[in-house]
Amino acid sequence: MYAEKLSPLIRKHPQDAEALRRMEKFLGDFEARRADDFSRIRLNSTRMFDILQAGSTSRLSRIITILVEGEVFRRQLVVRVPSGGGVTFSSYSELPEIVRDPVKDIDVAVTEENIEPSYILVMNEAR
Amino acid sequence: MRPAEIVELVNETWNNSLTNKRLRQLQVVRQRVPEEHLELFDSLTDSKVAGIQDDPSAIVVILIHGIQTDGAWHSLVEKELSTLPHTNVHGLGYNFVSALQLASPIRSTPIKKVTQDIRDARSMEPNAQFMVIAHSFGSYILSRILATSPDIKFSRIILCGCIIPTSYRWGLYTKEMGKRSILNDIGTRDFYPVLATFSSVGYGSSGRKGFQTPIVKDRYFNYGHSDFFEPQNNHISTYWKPFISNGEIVESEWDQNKPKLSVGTNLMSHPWIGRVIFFGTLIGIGLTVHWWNS
Repeated sequence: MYAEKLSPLIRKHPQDAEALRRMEKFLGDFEARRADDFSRIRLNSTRMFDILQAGSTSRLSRIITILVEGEVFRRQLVVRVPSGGGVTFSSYSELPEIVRDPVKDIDVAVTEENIEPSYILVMNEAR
Repeated sequence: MRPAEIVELVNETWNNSLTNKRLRQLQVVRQRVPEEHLELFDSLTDSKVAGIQDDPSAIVVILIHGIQTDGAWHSLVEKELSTLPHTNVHGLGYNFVSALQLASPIRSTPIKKVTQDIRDARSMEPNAQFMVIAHSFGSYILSRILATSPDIKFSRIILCGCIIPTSYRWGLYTKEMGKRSILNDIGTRDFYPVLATFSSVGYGSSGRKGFQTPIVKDRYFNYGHSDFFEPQNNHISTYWKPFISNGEIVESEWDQNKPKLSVGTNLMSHPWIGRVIFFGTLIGIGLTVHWWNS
């Protein structure tokens, strides 16, 4: 079960153990009910906030830091373009000032308005 | 850099940048962030970009331990209270305080440390309701913080094994707090508050006698100094959790059955009579030993 990846994090971070248990339960339930879709889970910040019952943005960020550094999730930044598609980046340091919308053949400025941060599972991608 | 400084850095950069320049500005600032905090920086930026707002019902519970338990009880409280939604528990610590330091009037180092930690926690979660549980010397630390740092406020306070003087001016230092917001849990077998009163200055027997003032709810238990944390008493879940969650005060049956204070305990817990008896006895013993040896 993928949710077992959280067990060592729960032990290592007692202050955030309960929030991590909530994520463990969410992932465990999802995997049990919809195993085929499990690897395609994508959670945005709002969903993370709700699942973890974080209460504040700083606590949400602290717990997401634990989950990313613990290789449970990794970040994806999708820059939406007018044609409806998106260009994906893995870090804020990689974001360019402009991306190309290949369908409409136009340049699009990257701003906070067209970025969607989300988190996907760190599966064994080498396989 | 401390995590609280990273939070401030992201907030300031976000709030002080033009909308169309924010991302560029954050990228520039990010280059100065130590590597161990980059992920926190990015996660905070995610929340800003996604427009996440702090939940106004979020609770932060600060725990301040005494010198005997050394915070071992923090994990018990964390485990119990963290099951409440949107509740974040911070166990604060400080370096070893010796019995000599405890007895002497020089106690500012742990107070400064805890004050800074609370300010950090506040800057991390500025919109949350702050509450505090303080035990023994931790109650003394809290009393000094409330008296000297008016920027630090709590919406609920729980004291246990309390050694704050019974004459403490709660009305002055907690003006903004609502009624029945301060609980003083008392162990009727607890001798430490009495010992602290007669053997030093600045402490009091409120953890044995209560404050006996309308502002503070004194609640009595058949406990010793640290029995609040004994798992068999279920004290945290039965008495503290409802108070933290919604302000509910669960009455203690021991309030009606508690024994009367003995005359000796009453005398020794008096702020001046106790000290006169104690130090008079010490001087008497010293003089007797001196006379005997000579």
